Amino acid sequence: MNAIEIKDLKKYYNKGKIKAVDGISLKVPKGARFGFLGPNGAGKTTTIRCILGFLNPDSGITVINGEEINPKKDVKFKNQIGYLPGELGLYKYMTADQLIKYFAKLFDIEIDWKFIKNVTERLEIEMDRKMGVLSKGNKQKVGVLTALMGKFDILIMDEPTSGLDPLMQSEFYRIISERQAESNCTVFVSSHVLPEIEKFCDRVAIIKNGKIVEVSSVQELKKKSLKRFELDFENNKSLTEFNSFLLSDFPEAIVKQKYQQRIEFLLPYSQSREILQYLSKNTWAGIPIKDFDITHSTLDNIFLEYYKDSNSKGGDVI
Amino acid sequence: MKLIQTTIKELKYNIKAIIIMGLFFGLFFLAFMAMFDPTLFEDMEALLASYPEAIVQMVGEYIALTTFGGFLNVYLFSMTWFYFGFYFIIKAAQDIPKEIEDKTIDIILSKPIKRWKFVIGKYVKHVITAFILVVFSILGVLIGVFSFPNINPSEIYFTELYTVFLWLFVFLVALISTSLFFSTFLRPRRALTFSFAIIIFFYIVGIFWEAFPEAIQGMKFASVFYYFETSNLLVNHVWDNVLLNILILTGYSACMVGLSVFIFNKRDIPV
Repeated sequence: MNAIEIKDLKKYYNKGKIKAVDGISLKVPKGARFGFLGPNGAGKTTTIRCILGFLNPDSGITVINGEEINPKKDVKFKNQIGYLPGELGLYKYMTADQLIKYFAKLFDIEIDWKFIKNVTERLEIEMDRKMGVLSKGNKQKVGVLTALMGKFDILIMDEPTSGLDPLMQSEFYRIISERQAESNCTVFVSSHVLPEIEKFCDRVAIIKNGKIVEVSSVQELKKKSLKRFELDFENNKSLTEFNSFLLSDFPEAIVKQKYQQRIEFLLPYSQSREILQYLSKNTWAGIPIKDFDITHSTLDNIFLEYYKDSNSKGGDVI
Repeated sequence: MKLIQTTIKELKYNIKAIIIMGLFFGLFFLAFMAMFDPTLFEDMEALLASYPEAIVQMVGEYIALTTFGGFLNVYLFSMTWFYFGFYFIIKAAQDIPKEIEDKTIDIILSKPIKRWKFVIGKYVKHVITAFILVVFSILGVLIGVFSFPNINPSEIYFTELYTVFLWLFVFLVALISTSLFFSTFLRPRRALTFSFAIIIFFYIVGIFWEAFPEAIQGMKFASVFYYFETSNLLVNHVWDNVLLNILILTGYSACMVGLSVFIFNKRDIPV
């Protein structure tokens, strides 16, 4: 079963001139760690806000845990959702402790103080300071706490680590992982911070100009990507010979740079085994390669591949 | 339960300010009680009677500064919208737009809280605040009545006094409802500007309608100020239309709240 399913979701502004979300269909399997990837203005937050009923979509169907809902009218489904907004707003005049108690009363949540204490200590949250005097990062930590304080089947987080330092980001994802291991909840993370999606998520959807351009597992996505090769040669003659060979036998190769006796190039994942065989068996100018390094293309590279068209056109959706 | 919680939270974190304001208004009204002196106000009444009709209309249709009711009408009830009104217009107009602007609404509405409950929770807070301020004002007046030698309690029509305070409360709720309406679909500054604009328009139309050409005098019926005319009751002790006016103001508030909820349910909560 899918935890979240949206079909043909559309949200237009200015009488259709601005297509913030343009016919998105998406299935988030139950228990998945789903990354929703796209740069600012791609439509990530709009999609989330349509799911949660903050925005009226122009069309589309939303299904939560197998039940079709009208996000604007139905509110019961929100019992199953934990939410961390992208732009977090917390009452300036309240402390974290007061916020927790207030939300618990308001949302009929039984506070698990042990869990709160655990998260508070690990994220170093200052419970007795008012939100108005906290830094963005510290507010974000309180936001994390409020998102996690209740029971939920689905955790939706919009740019969850914004403002958190790298150590806190790691701790944050550890907490989420533990929570998911305990409850098998679905985690839906929207972000433009690609490495964290790469590390945390198992599936990913890429949104571009309000449309989904790719949905697959992170591994599959990587397979579609290019592999990066760095080869060192003993001398320039070997390098020149190899370069000629590469361009003639692997026309899809993209040479990124050549310097001294080193060459860097990108090759489709499907051709990497073939070139490795050549590299192990052949010599160039009579000498085998001196050293080599092969790395997976990061999600960043893949992401940029999907985005290079829109970047060159300079088009972006608000 | 959720509706009560939002109201309780709002009141809890504003209670000091509300009590301080209540005390201020209580003392303010008490100070006015000390001013009352029939002989002193005889000349003032004659002076006021010589003023142009439009000016007199500002303080009510019937002027009698030498009576306690007339004095209350001119110095307190004709000006209460000014004393209290600004506070409620500012507060009610900015409450919901500020929640949207500060993004605090996001966490609230991400949980199973119906939008109408959110709006009504905010509204009830202002209504309770208005009630508290009116109670403090009554206390200020009553302390004055029973403490100051210049006022003879036996000459005071208490039923009228309490009724006028109830009327004031209903009138303030009507002002709150007007601001609430604009707050459900406008940004804070615009909501405030529109609220002030419409209430000043209501004031001009409801008070100075006689100065308008006959053809457009009917506009007065659209103004909440037209239904808050306390001088006939306080000066002449005439109860005509009092209940009707209170009911009209209540109905107006109910309509505005209904419209506010309807609009807020329909609107987008932007990023």
